[in-house]
Amino acid sequence: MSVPLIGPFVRRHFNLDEHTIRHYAWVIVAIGAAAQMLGSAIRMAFGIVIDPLVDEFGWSPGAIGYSYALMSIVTALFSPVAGWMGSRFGARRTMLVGIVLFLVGMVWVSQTRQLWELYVAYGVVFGIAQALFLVPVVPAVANWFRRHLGLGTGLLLVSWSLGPALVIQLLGFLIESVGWSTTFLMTGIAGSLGMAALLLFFKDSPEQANRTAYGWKPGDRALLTKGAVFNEKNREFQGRIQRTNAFWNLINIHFLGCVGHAVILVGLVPMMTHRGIPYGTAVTALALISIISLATRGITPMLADRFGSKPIMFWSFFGQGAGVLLLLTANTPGEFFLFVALWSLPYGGEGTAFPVINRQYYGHVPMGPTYGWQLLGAGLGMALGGALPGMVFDITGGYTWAIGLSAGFSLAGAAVILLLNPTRQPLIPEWMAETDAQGERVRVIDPVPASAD
Amino acid sequence: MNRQASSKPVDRFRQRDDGARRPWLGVGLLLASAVATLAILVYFGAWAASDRVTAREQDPVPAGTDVAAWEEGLLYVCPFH
Repeated sequence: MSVPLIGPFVRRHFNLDEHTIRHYAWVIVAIGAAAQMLGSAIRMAFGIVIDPLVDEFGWSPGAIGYSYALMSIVTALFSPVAGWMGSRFGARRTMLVGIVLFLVGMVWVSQTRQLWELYVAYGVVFGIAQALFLVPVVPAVANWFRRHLGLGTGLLLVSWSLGPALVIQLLGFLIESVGWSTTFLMTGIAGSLGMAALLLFFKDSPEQANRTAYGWKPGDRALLTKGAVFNEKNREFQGRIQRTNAFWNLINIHFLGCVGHAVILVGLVPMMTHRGIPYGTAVTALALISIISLATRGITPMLADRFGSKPIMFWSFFGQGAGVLLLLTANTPGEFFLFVALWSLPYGGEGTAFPVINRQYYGHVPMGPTYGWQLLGAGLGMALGGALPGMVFDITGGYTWAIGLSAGFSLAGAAVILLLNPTRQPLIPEWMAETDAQGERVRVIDPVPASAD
Repeated sequence: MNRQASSKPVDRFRQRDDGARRPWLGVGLLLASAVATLAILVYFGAWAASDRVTAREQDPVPAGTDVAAWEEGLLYVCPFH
């Protein structure tokens, strides 16, 4: 294809003429990205506070690590509740509660003197805060995109990797300069105030802001987004979603995929050092995964939006599972970096198409509860996958089993994806027709244009 | 997709038999994943228990030869250990 033809091709296939930067949806995406960056950065930065806590209190790294595991499980278990709260009370109010708990948790951690306090403050309080803070964001952003949801969620989910990359450096500098306690205190206060200020500009839906959603076209009906009728209709529809196979399959798929990559994210550095690679080189390899995966993290939802989620998700899961097998024979830095370069791409796309496939299956619906259940699967998968490498190494003295398990879980996820319904048709079409038949402005959901698969 | 609103304020959706639609495949696959995960954990747990028991048998002085309840349970459940 000659170069001059690329422009029209991209313009036609990605509907570039329909896009504009002058839309309030981008403000919502930016605020959502800031929330994701802050939450994920504090979570991912936990590793850098372990040594200071060991030095000050003499606790074992393992005992400190339990608070991280507890936080992961609490966040996972609370995700469906957070999703329901976002749908019932609005994302903004739910996130506000999350900010208060975030502040309480961070200040408490900064004043911790006993191990149980760390478990409660970081494991429980921060775990709940993180669920309230992060789960309602994606469904709220989805409310703002009548079309082109893949573009919105793609940009939002890039922040999931970008946050740790930017904030961990800052937190490391602060810990060295002012100590871990003051760092937690400062981060808690500054992060809470900053997010509270940003929430002043956050609106749960375009209807509540008297605006139209991104991609709105004449003929699209405004959606009801609050009130008694909305709550009743939404409750009914969520029950209807739970009667579809896709609802359960997507929880399962998220669980399997997260086990698959958590094994690698947690186990890669010790795996490399076990095979004689210097620690610094191993850490660089891990950092490269975050950077390379940024590309597919952003692009995958757009591709899913344009070409259908099912094939995009299948190849992401298949690539993640098959790519892991390269580790079975990797011994040199070059072989490990080849693995990183190849594996990071499907890994980046593994979990980012879920908001898009929800839209394609269920229409323009408040998807907080559904997304919350999917994040329950993801959270439990991350907790299990994070524990597997160390457990398997302690028992077998190597990482071969961990690599096999990682591949097995990801490929099992790919197999379940093959059993999903095509995304050409919404799964509950009769509901979409009948809500119109009320003769009133009670539409809670709206179908979306069919996708390609 | 043509979605003309009906003039009749009748919600035919409510008249459908919800009970006819059960997500057997989705729930079944989720349960299969849960069972497989549990089996993997039992297998490795029993492996660890077996190693600990063997180690104590070879050097019984510091730890004794008693088998802990969790070790006994995992070894009982796992068919491979």
